[in-house]
Amino acid sequence: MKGHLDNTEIIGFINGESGEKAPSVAAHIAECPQCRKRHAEMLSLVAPTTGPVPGPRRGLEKRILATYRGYGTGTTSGVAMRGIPGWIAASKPRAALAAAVIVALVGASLYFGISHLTRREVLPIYVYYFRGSSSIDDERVRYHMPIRDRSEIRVGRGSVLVLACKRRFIVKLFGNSEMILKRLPVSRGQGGHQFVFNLRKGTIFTTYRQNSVETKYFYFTPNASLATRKSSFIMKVAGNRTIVIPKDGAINIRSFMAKGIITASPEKDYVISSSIEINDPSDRQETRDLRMYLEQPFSNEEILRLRQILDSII
Amino acid sequence: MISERRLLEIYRLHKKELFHYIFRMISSAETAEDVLHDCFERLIQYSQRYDLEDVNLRSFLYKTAHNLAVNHLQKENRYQRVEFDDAVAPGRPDETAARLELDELNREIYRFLGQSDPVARSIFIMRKEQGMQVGAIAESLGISEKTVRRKINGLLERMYEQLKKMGLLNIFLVL
Repeated sequence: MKGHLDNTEIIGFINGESGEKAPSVAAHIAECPQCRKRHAEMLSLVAPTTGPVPGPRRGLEKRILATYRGYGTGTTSGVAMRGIPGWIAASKPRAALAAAVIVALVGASLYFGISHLTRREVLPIYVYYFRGSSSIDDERVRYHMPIRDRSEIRVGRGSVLVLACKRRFIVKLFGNSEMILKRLPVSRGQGGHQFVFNLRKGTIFTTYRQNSVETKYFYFTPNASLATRKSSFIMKVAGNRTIVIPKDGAINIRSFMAKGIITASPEKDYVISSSIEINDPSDRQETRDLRMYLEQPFSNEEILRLRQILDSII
Repeated sequence: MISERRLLEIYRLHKKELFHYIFRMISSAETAEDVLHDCFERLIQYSQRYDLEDVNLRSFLYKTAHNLAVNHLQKENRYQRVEFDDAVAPGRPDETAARLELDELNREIYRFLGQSDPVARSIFIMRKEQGMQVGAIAESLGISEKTVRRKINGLLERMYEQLKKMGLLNIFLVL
């Protein structure tokens, strides 16, 4: 063999591609300190990385199951795609043809409609508690149901719905609320998720994990937008007004009609319409009621149900 | 469609290695979970149309994971940071990968990989972390063995030269 092995020969040997030359390459490596050193160095590049690697959390299995159950048992191919009954085809050929076209169109609409629904990604957000009647994407709320990007959430009068993203946040929707939930793509180098909560009407209470990675959360109402990282607050949309009362943390509020951004803090109540009013606490009846919810956002029954998720947040 | 029991069996069998692979590709544990979830959602969707009996599930999952990871990496390069306002202080980047106890050499290896094309990165990680041979990698990614060899050999050679220049390669003397 010539003086020294080149890099290609050593790499080929490491990858088991030396073929007939393998014994002579191995012998050379054993005898030549320089080639042996290069061989060891290249080998270190392809050795498995040592040290702990996080595994998927246990909740992921549940999430996958929830997704699986959302698909049901093969209903997307659809009843609508079945052929029309034979007796119709035999007795009235034109009617049969028209019926076949209608069935095909309905089937295609259902298929593409369902395909569109199923193409929206499932979010890492779950139903942790509900009482009364609520729906997500017009489907009655149940535990373990998948919640997808751009979901429309409706909470009936006198009902309650609590959603949570484990170790990140909890959102409680009070009765007569409507909200759309979206996820934003995150920027390069940033892990985690960024969510947008579009509250069309009603009241929500939300709290975030205090020492989590600093993900930003965004809220929209008909007349305001909010951004926050780590805070707890209650927010109500009533007609053309948005009321925000922080419990802790800072929230940036912008009115769509008024100029400027303010940073809301727990000492005041904020009412956003064409301007942003800043009031002392308990100034009005409606803000007084919201403050009561803020003091005790969850009932005893809810606390029992939410204990684990609350522990992971607080 | 695949049964729930079978889905769980497959998930439990492959979750660690797939997660490991995806994590090494995109360096974020939370996003790796999302990608892994989407991987299995694709499997569910596939099983609605086709019989899984003749499918090499491991290759299918790796190929799907690779495609999803590559899409994610491409999206990262395309999307602008969404800034709602400038009044809130910028957050820290995800430091999950940095918190891992990677030795300095492996940190540099992955930094180098971060600059490589996604297919080469994928091949290298399958080789390094999963111990997969050329044939299995080729089948998983749906490319030829020749392409696998070309990419991994080229990558290894460039990586070696780069890390050697940086003085990061340990000296092992095999006696």
